Amino acid sequence: MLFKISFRNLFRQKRRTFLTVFMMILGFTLMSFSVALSEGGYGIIIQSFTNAKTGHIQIYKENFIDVPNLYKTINNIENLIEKVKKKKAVVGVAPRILSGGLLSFKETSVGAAITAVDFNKEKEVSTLEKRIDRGRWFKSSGSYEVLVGKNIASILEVELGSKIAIISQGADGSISNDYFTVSAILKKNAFDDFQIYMDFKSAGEFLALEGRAHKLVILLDDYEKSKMVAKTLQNDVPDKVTVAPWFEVEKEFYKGMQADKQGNSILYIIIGIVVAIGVLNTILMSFLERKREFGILKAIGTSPRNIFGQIMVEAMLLCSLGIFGGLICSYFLNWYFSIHGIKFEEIEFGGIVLNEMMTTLQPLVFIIPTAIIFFSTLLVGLYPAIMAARVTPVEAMRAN
Amino acid sequence: MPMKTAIFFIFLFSFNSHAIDLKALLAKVDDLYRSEQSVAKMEMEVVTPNWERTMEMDAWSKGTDKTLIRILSPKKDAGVATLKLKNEMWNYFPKINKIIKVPSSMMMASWMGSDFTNDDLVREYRYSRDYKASYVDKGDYYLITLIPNDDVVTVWGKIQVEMDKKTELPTKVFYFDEKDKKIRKMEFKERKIIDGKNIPMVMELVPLNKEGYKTMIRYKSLSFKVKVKDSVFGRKNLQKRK
Repeated sequence: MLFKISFRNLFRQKRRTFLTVFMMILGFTLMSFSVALSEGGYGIIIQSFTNAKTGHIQIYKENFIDVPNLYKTINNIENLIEKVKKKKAVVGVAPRILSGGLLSFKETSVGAAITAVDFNKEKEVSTLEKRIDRGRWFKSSGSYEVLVGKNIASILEVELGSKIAIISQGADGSISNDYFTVSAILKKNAFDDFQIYMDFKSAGEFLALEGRAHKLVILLDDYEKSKMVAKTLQNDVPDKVTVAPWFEVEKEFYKGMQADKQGNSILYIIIGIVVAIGVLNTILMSFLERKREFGILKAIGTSPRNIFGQIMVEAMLLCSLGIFGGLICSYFLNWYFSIHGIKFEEIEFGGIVLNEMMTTLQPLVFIIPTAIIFFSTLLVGLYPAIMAARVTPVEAMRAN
Repeated sequence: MPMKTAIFFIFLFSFNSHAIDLKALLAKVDDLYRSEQSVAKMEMEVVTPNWERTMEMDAWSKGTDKTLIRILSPKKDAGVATLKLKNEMWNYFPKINKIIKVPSSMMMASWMGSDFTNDDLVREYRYSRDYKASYVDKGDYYLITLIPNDDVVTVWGKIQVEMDKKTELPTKVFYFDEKDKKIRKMEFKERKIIDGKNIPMVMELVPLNKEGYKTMIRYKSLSFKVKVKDSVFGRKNLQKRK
């Protein structure tokens, strides 16, 4: 019965109710759209980032990521790769060797990071081959060729076919030195700064690291599965070997993203406050108008609890209408933009260039606005509801 | 009056005769393995947690400006040579037949996989000239503390030398970083008289900030009474495989 009364009360002031609900729908949709864009945008960034170089999961020895060391290797790689490939979500696995060395061409020398990638398997886990600007992938496994980052190419003034002398530290203590031919020059981007890429087999020979790798890079069919799959893989790896999802490998990037997201939550709170103030206004006004009414109700024996309940239910009904309407509007809005996206001028984040943002229909997109509007309405309704419950009949009836 | 002045001066002189000539002592450390010219055969043993290696090498030097070191063994590194002229350094690799100048960015990189850095070989500063020195008398030896002058570019915030009083030779040198943390220790052992100079034939360098690393250089032969031609320090000679 409380429900019936409250519902009827709402429609006594149709216009006010309607406007309030409309404002809630607007606030909801705004918040929802903002979350959707943000999650969608970050989703694209994460996807591009992990596809480019990091992969979704990495396997390495101990704390190699934090304290890299030529000798911290995983051995028995073929075996491990077989095990990983068995997991359903795994799309590709590739081994890598990480080192550094001095590159010399004619009279110029420069220090560079050396990443050795598998001739066949690398394409399954990264977009390295697509980042080639001029030239081609390695001729064959074991060929002494390198893919050179654009800035190194310009510092050394090399072209396709140039022979670069590379000197590095061998894992047996000797000084590795040999010539490598430039088979490709990469496009200019943040991932390949001061990097050259060697074929995995030749690097093993060159650095006395045959059969060993510093990392296994794994790509899944969905980056969201990273944490879960990493956990299950941890049981399959030998002692002292770490299985880490991408956000543990790229802590800085991840932290940067989180910080960015924090900024957005302030926006939601502001929207929530605005909506809450609007709702407060409505409920308070409706109470003040009916003060006399409440006085009479109390005089005839209505309990304070009942009156409190009446106002609260009115508030929550408003809220439900707002949320329901908001869900419908935001669903269609987000659905549209998840397909068509918003195009804008390029911005860069963590090395990824973004020029289009899409929304997403993840649950969070609807849960956040629902929660904020629900709880703020609840909070805001308390004040008038308590006031109404405390009304003294005599005073109240003197009002209006 | 004259009596008092006399006593004062006697005091002054006697005081001075106990004070040490720091500059001269430090100059000895600076020129420990140097003379006008020298030729040496050395053995360098490098120990790391992952491998152990012993390299044999020939070394020629003229003054403090010119040094040439050529690796003789093991086979993998035979013929690799390092040339230092003033504060520049080149490496020659016979396998690729290339002379590569070591860029300043790689000066702190290890030399030939050892605990010595390229900078150690190349640096031109002298303890006797470029550092502020103070000392403490420790009975058998002096503990000399060296702080680099403002215009000296070096990674070491402080260097401490333990100088044996009797032999006037350093026995230990400690290297500290800017935060006053001991980073490495050098020990000098097995003294021998070579061409009239008292020389420690063994240098042992131990990094103190990591476990299991050590580099030991032992002089198999050393001679100062030689004539070293300038051409030894030229490009052509650098590229010779023997």
